[in-house]
Amino acid sequence: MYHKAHGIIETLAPLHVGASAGEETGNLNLIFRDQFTQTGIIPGSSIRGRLRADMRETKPDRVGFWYGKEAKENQPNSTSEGIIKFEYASLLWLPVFCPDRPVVRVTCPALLERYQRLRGRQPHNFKPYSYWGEIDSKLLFFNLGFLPLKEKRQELFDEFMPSSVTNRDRYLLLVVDDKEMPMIHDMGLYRQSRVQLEDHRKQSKDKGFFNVEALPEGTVLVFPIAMRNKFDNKPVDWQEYLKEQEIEKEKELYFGGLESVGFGRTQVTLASGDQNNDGGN
Amino acid sequence: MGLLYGSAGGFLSPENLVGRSNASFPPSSATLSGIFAAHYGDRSEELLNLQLAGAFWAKIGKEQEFYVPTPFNSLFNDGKIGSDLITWQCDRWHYSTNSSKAEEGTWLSISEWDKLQTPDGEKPTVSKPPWEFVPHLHPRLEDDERRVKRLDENGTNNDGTLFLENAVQLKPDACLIYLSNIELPSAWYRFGGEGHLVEIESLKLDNPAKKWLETPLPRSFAIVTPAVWGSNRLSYREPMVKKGEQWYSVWFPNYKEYEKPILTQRPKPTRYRLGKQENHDPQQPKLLSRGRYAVPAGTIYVLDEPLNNTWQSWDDSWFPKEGHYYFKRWGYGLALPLGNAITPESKSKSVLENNIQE
Repeated sequence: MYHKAHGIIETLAPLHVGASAGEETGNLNLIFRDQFTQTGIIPGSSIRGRLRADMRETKPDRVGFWYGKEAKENQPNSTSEGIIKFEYASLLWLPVFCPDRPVVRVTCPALLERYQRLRGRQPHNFKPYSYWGEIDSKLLFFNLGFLPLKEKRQELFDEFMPSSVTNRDRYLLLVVDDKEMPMIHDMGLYRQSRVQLEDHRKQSKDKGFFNVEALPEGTVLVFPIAMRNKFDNKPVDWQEYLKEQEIEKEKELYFGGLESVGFGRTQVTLASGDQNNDGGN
Repeated sequence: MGLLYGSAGGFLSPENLVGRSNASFPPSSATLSGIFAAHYGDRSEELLNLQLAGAFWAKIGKEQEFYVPTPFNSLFNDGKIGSDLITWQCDRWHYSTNSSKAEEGTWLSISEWDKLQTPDGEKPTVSKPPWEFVPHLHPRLEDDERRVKRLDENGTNNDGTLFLENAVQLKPDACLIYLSNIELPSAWYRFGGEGHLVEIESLKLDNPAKKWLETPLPRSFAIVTPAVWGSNRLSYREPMVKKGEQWYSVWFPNYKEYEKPILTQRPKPTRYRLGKQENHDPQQPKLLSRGRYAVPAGTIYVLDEPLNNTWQSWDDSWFPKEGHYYFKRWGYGLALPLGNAITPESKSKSVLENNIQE
């Protein structure tokens, strides 16, 4: 049994976590995707790696305790299980350009359902095209056509927009059908061609040209965290972890590749599942 | 809560990234047994009588109508039309005429199990499993730089820098189902390799599964979980017991090896980790059991006489024993009645006569 908690990631810059096996050879560097909703995810191992590397800088002697010890060569049983575990971060809200808005935050029932579940809440019936926000007309001019807005739901904002998100009340919130999410997601991704030039000529270096896709700035993701309740018959304290990890409330962390060119900056908020709140409250 | 681990055996080395390791999913009930052991403590009263069976799966909200592997005698092509049936007639397996290539690895809802009781009549529908494999590369990075670890001074890297996981993602509206005789508190648990997390909920077993588990087995039945029979070292295709120095078949005392009425496919390798090592940290790896060949789920047995009992009442001695446990503990060879595996006497005669005329 584990203590339940979760984390909210808000991207402050484009975020690229990718190169799943077999896809790293093409010229478009894809982000890691969920197989069913086809939306971007951040693998749990990446989240773990980031936090672990951070702790290694500040409290190197505690890394083994929280994240487990690595196997040493020719030493059987030198590994240990970590106290804290992460699963992948799934999308919660994706900002999408919409000609007359200019930004709509989009999600779908499958993604909301996961957020609901990892906070330990009862299943909720999310109807496609329910929305929250101020509108002039019930027809939204979306990039791929006109989209009808149906019911206005206050809980989309109250319950499903984490309170730590910047400008959380500025944009329209919209739930689309699960089937439409992959296409809208693909439309909303940040894509860039990158070229590395030769040092003294304006010509691309060999293998210095590639395309990359990333989750856009303002994307909100959510991931479950589990912490062992006991270790060596002593209780483990969630607050102690937050203190040693130096995330009292929220923290800026970098994830994924292309950090040096401004990708990957995010704001991470951790919330204990027992407090039953959704972040910064 | 996230991905699950699906790799099995045959791992990749950093020098060879072309292939993938083998895949195995869903995890066996022995994996779940580990969670019970961790929760109840290795030598607790409850754990001595623990009995598990699985793995099955279900759609969330319809957990009682969980899916079990399709018996091998039902051949399906597009998930709906099960026109082809393999039946036992007097002394041999009879293939119906229009058999084309059948789908493999399909699953059947337990609520449709009654449609398997007569050779004619309405045919059940089958489903594909609700999970997908996601190859997932875990590079090992330099401590202070975000790039894959460099080679050592002598040009090698003993740790390896890349690890490819065959992760598995379950559809959000599906869950795995295991049968158990004791309860596990609802919570998050670690399940399978790579420390992946799951949410476990205990539900009371109800019909239709309950009915089928309580139905005495007739002459023919199918197993819905893999079965390991025989001694601790040898795997057989049916229960064997030792009398003196000799091994005897329990179900087929009168048959020779090659003509037993068993419909099966190639064996499935199986093994698990078991037991706590003395004087070690409880988090240390457990001992790996001997690798065994299991009869795959879906195998059909046709006996001379009805068994007239249920799987639960089968003798422990039919199963191999390893450590303190008989394999029955992990639900090996869970059998359900299967009426349509035999053509009725009268009909089979006429079919045989027809065949002879042709």
